[in-house]
Amino acid sequence: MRRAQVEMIGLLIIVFLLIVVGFFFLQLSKPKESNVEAGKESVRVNSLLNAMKKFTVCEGYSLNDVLANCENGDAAVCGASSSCGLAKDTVKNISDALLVTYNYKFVVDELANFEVSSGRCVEGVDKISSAESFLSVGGGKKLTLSYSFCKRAADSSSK
Amino acid sequence: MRRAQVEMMEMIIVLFIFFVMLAVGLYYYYSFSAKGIQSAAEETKAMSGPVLIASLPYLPDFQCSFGGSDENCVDVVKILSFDGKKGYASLFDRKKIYVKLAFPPPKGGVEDVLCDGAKFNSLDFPDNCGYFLIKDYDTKGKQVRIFSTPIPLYYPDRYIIGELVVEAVL
Repeated sequence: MRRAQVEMIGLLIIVFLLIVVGFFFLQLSKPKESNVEAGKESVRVNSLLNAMKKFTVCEGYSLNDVLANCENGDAAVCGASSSCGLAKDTVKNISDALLVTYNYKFVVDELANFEVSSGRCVEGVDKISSAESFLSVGGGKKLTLSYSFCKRAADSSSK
Repeated sequence: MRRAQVEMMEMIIVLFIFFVMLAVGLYYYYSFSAKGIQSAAEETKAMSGPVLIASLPYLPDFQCSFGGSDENCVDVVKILSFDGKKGYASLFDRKKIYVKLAFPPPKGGVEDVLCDGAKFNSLDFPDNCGYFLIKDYDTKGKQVRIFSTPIPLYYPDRYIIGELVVEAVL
């Protein structure tokens, strides 16, 4: 090979190396996903669960009290024949009013069949925000309230 | 030209190209770094919204307290008596902050009516208004980020759900 050819190959190698270095540099400087959205959703799910628990369903009865009645024999309360049914309706009404663009799920672990949900959040696909809270219902028993939601697919792009 | 001169010229050109490339590289490196710092600053500024909505319900000027013990809710009487001049200037800077009545939803037509002292003392309260103002700031025509979260609102006789809204001017 002549000297000119060798230098050409050298130049090509340098250009190739520069492209590789530039590519890595651009990859590293790619903007990271914002923490603000995650922060907002995390605050929202915890606040909503807290606000819901305190909500006065009828005079003298918060949702906490209605859930406790549900656990302790499903007595009639606030004019409703079933406290479990009333608790479910209340959770559903509040969630539907405040989570218009979300899919949600509210579960009480210790109560069989106590699940209020709308749509579905898929783990690993949707960004799911969740919160958990405990509720003491007397007699040393407690209930675990789990609340989670995610943006509906059609709404998640319109941020 | 002699061969030595040619090689000198070649070396000078190589060095020139090398320094040009070095300068271009440094320029991009620093501009990317500056952009990174700027976006981090913007992110920190933007995070002040979520931080405020998470912390405001626990400020003593808003948090419910019964018999000396604090409760996890916001007292509407405290909102109404808040004068906005108690050392929250930096926390509330360039922000409009208000609490909308969210659930049960206000009756039709009063969503945009401010709940003030006169409305509070009226017999038809809380059905006569739709939101409480904590801090006013003119956000019209400005670029704003809106943060909101539900909060338990304590009326003297019951708890309802409000929506704390922070409109932060960028």
